[in-house]
Amino acid sequence: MTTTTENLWPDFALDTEIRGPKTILTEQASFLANGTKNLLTADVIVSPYGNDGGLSYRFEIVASNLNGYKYTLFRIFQGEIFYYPCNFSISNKSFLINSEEELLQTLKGVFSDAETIKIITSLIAQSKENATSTLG
Amino acid sequence: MQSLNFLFWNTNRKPLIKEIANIAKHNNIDVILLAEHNLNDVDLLLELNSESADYHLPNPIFQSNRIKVFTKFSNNFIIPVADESENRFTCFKIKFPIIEELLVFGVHLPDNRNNQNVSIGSHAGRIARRIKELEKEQNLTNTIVVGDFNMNPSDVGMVDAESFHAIMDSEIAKKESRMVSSKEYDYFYNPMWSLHGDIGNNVAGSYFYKNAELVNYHWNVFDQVLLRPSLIDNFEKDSLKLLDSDGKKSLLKKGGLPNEKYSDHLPLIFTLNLDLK
Repeated sequence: MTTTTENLWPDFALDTEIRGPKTILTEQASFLANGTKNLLTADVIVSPYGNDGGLSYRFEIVASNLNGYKYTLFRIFQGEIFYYPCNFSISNKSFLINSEEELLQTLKGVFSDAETIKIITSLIAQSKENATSTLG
Repeated sequence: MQSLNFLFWNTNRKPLIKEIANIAKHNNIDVILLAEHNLNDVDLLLELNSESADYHLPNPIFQSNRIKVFTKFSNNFIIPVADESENRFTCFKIKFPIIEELLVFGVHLPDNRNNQNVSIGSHAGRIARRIKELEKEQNLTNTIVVGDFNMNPSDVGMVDAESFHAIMDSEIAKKESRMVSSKEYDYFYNPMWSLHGDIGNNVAGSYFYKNAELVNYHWNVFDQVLLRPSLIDNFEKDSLKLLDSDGKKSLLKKGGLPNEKYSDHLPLIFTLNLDLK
């Protein structure tokens, strides 16, 4: 005997395009590499956070020519299941991000902040200074 | 299939940044290996990336002064394996998620003006044994060996089964190995035999040297690439070239010999079409 119950699920929007921190940060890492001609690159390191299935995203600037020196610019902490709200942590400051739009705005502010520009400029200058004319 | 275009050039300690970048752009090179280099890494990177951001600095783990490696791939995909200056090679893996792994050796053997041919052959034997050991360690036989061997393809150090055991016939090399006195010897395929001489080639070799000795080859093919049998079908034979131009200007002088203003060696390019996993 077969029992057929009606489908109780609503229709789901499969074409949803909510972009999480990892996608956005990876794109921004690629823009940094392009903008510095790969003198500087950035890694997005994802690791578990807390005991409830949360995730931590670390945005690391990498200077290959400084023996692969890595500088963590900021971190994002995401709770279980949902991308947003998430927690954005830079230097000693920490604040809540409620949506993709807020994250983009925050990143724009961080990237054009005088302190960040100073760090990037310094890493570029040191990478150039550290370039050796080795004889093979 | 994923195509990988390689360039090897012994730049004779000339700061050939423009010329390297021209060749790389003109031939869509993915992996650049340089011997006898005298260049500033950042200057070359900026020239390579003048119209894009395709190329990356050498992996900081590479310490070799003999061979400099620039690629279009981030350091996540270029894995240093061994960097043995005393053995005159550097070795790395190209490891992408979707294609077969590749083991690449960049070599530069001692020059033949200060070393007898038999001595270079002894070095070759030592390098060949290390290659075999590293292939075993890495459990990989997708191996290419590229560089300035300071030997011609027909020299004993290239052909000797106790050395590179590199032969000119890809069909025979595909048999993978042969037995000699109860010992098994793996083959390399050496396509460079086809580039020694002027029939069908733009130049008769990669390096020209003429002196008053009775035996003098004039043109030599010191710059070579060897492939293990597992890569023969991936090797695009028509792609193998000794370049006489950087794409913008000739690297030859009047009479068709290498112009020492650039390098006394000509650049070598080739393509591998790698299988998807």
